[in-house]
Amino acid sequence: MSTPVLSARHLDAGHGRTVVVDDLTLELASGTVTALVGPNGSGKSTLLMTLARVLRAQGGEVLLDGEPIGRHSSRQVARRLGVLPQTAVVPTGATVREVVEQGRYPQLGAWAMLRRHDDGAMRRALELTGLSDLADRRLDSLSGGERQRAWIAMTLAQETGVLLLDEPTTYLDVRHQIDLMVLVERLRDDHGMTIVMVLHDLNQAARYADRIVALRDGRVCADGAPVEVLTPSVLMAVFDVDAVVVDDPVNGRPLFIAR
Amino acid sequence: MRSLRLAGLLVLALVVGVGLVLAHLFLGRSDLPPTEIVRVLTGRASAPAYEIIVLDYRLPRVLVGLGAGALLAVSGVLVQAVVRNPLAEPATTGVGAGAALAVVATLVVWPGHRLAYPAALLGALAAGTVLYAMGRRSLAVTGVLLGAVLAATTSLLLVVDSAPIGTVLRWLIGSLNARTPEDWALLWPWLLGVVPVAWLLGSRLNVWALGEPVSIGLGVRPGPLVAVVLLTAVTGAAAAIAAAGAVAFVGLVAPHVGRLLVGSDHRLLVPFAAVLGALLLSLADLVAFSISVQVPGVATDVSGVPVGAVTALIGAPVLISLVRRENRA
Repeated sequence: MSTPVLSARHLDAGHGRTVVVDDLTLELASGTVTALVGPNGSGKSTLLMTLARVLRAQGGEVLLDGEPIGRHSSRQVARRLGVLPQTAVVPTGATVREVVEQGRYPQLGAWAMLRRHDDGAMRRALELTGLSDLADRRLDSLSGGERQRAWIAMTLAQETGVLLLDEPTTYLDVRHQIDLMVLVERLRDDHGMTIVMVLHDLNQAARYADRIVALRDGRVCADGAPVEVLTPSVLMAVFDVDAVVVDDPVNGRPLFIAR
Repeated sequence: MRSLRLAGLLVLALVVGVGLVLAHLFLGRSDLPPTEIVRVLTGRASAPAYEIIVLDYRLPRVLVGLGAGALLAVSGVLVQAVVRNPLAEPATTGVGAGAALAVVATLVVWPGHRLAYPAALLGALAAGTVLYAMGRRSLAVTGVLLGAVLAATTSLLLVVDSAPIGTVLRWLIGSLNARTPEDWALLWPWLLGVVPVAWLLGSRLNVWALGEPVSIGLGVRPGPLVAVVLLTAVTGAAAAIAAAGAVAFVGLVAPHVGRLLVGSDHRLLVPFAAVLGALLLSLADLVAFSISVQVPGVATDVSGVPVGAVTALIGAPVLISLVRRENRA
């Protein structure tokens, strides 16, 4: 395998003094979609935010293209790695276009961003998320799902090779969840992007991810292709859920049903 | 459409600004014929006394009012941006109280306000440093508490030595009475420094507005940004407070009105709030001055009603209605 795009080596991570992720090692290959799953408090979001250097690692290190992520300036990292946290704040009165425009900051810099921008990257991001018609609407007047798509558009406007999404399907209805997952596949297939996302819906993870990493108590409990991870024994070990796994009749991926 | 609206607002601001300056120059306690004022302004004064009244008394007052208003408004925008709380302003973050305490302390020891600038700056910087060191995670709450402690200390100082209470009270409320050309000379360099720096911070503040995790993700590191923005806000507030006293509400109302007019994009909000703050404080000063002159018994001495009393009396209800409007929108 070539150098992983993003990797964690003996990573300890958490908020403040509490350690949530404990001595975790993980390598993410270029051009793949990985789903992080696990029960509440298992450390998936903490892991994702530490991989994105939003949280500082308490021990071990995160490598981007084989180099410690702290070696480059935060803005240089932001040109290669985009992240969508769960806790984005909607500025009062800001329009969709104004929020998506902020995604251009890493590429253009503080000086150039003193001018208003409406470039190709922004238009593509709005188009990919189906927001072109809503671009001039106030973000705080939109539905939760439209807002979520605006945040995704912002990270797409960053034009990075790596994208980390923390529960991106939250607030989305079924239609938009599917649209988003199809978009993720497209970003991987057409643009060779590496995508890591925290997902709660295991069947969604199984259907759209190349690889599932299941966490419990800050450690990797199972890691591999959906067929390897979505098994009754793993579901019991990770989630304490008694389940049957069948083949998804549409594309043959595993599909779980709680017993 | 958008740029047309902005141009319209700019023209309107210019007209109001010129109107305010003229009103300040033409209205005054001493009855000066308008023709004489025009003569002074065109450099053909018929008596040196007229020149002194217009250029040394009335002009500095309006200029200091405009400048201090702009600085308070810009500080307000910056503080509100840093704490992401639209109710923050220099006065509610302890910075104003720090400046006021330092000024009061120096006034108690050395009467006369020559030392007001360094004192206000040091006091505001000290309060700002404590704020940054203690409350990185909860600036808004720490600021309110810090302000309470500093205000209490100021009161204590006045109980111990009540001799300068008249002068001190003007500082605490904020007053533009009896400004001199020297006051303006001390103020404008700060204006020239703080406002452009605040504008240059605008693109970073737009990123910061999306929350700390998002702004780290976009490559803006919180520590340095918060430090620079706070330092700029503190400097601006200190200069304004040194020049005009701890005027309340301009730093709160001007950014709010600005947001209603041009939105929350800091690249526009910073310059617009500056203009609005300048106009607001100058207008309030005109009102304060008119009350002093027109209403008998309000101000029997020369000093008149302090502008800070007017901004608080008008500012509070205006702010309440703005907040209600924002909540409905």
